[in-house]
Amino acid sequence: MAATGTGLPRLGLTWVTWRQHRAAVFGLLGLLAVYAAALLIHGLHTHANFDRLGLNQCRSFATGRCEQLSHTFLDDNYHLLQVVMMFLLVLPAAFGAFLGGPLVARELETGTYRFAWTQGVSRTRWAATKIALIGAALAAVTAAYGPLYMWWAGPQRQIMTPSFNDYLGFEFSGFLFPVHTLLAFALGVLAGLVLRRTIPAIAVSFGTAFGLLLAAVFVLRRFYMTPLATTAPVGSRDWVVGTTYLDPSGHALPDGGHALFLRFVAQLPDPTSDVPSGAFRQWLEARHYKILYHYQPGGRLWDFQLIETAWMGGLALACLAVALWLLRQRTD
Amino acid sequence: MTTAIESSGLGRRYGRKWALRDCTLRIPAGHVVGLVGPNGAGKTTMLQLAVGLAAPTTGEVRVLDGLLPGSPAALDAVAFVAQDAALYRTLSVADMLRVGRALNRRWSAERAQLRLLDLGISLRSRVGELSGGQRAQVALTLALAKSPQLLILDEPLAALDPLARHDFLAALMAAVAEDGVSVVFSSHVVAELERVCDYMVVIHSGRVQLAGEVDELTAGHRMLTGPADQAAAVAGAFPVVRSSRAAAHAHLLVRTGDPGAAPPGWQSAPVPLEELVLAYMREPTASALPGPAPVRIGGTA
Repeated sequence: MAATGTGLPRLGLTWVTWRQHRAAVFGLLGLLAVYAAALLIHGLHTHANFDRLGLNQCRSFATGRCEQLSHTFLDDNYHLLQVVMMFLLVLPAAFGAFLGGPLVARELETGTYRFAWTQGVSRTRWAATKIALIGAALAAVTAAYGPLYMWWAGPQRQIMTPSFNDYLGFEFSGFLFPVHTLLAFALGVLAGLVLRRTIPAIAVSFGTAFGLLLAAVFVLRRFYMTPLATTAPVGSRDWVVGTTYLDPSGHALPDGGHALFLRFVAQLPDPTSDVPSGAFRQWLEARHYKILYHYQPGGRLWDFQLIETAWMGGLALACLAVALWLLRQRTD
Repeated sequence: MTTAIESSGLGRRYGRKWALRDCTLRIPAGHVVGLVGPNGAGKTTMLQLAVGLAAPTTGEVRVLDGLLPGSPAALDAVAFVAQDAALYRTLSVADMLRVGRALNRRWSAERAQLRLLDLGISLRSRVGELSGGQRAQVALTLALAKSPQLLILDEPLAALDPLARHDFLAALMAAVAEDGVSVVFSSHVVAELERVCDYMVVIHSGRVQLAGEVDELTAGHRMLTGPADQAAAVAGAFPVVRSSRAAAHAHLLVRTGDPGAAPPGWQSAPVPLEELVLAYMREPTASALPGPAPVRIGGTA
């Protein structure tokens, strides 16, 4: 230590941030490392199986031996998928809330803000530095998950070619995983400043961030752009957001085709047995009815990514701006 | 530098309750100032406003000849020791010093370490494991390491046992002697103040009752003792802060600078500081007494 300093030490605030939050950062890194290791080990295993079964030679997984093999492969290798999905759903909200919630709330709760905010560094700079450093660490670590997940899910995605709104594929294609994490983090900082209690701040920001994510996945995303409509079959990457049944004169059926479907079922020789896929469609076409698909074409993936990154990222920045503004005003 | 803290019309409201109201005072620099009042009088609020942790609802406050509390210049020049020594309890004393160093432009690390060495506080101990007295000493060490011009302490003695209080005040006085730092500290414990303070501010219910140099305050008050049946007449001649009766005698604490001002048949005695302060604290309206006052009430803002 220098005997007497003038001017703020270089990286002084950085060191303080590290010293105060290293436990949380280590916890985050540890958890994510365990998770990454699991994905890596499991991924290596499935990639090896994929090649060993000769599935890498297949041109299509819709017919013949390739179809059978791919069913076996999916059953054998992706049992964990449901569990993995559940975890990935909550990770951004959890990590963001656990690092953001205590950032200001712990100081207010324990009273140490009276020390921290009466030193030579202004509290705005203090908060801005902490937010920037921890936010950057969160973003960097979570961004690395995109390529890792896409590699891990590669064989499965090759077989199933999910539509582009497939939750995990959409989450990991661009920067949404870090953006969702940063949104939870920003909500945590703001909630901590308003609520002044660590646990409630974590709970509220976790709930809000997770709720927003669920709202985006299940409600909002389909409205990001006006869907197209076609009576032709849609591509496998396209996302069908609605269907309309047209009668032979081209008018939409008011009941959404329900009565028509009941008629179709009634004429089946054995209604309890499985109906072959496409049978209803063929039955309709024979009677000059048509199905009109409303869909978001697969090519819109990056438009959708951009829209969600923009509004969630914007919301995160707005939360942080409000938090810093409140901090300047705040005062006990 | 002539003024440590100056406020005019300063008020702070929390919800519907005023913690401090219409506070106008000027605390000169170069003193050890005791800010005294009962619990809930607004002492903590006053100090939080002065260090920028709270913003005024009404009026304004400045420190060190016009600096705005919380401004960069004020943050550099003012050190604050919060109630219960608000330090990071999970950090070691050494790390706590490093945090202090990292957050301040001026910092005397060697002096801080020497102080702690003198006090026998190990740098390796966790702050949370220290005794209350040691923690207060660490907080004081951190504050002094900034080489502040003004040191503000909020109830530094409240959580300390008598021995720790004695040690803490000794350390504080040594720092004042060494640096000439201006000190303002709040306390609801009146007894120790006489030993260390040379300036006193008494506040009650968020209002300043009394402010002045200790010498002037004690010189400006007398305790008059005489027959109870003459008390009303004597009280008419002097501003009475507080009166009490014991059997046939009346005790009147009056404001007068004249030691020989006692009426015939009455005894006049000086008033110890503690008794004086307690009298004002017991009579919340006493500062509003009419008549010529030899004591500067509320200062000259």
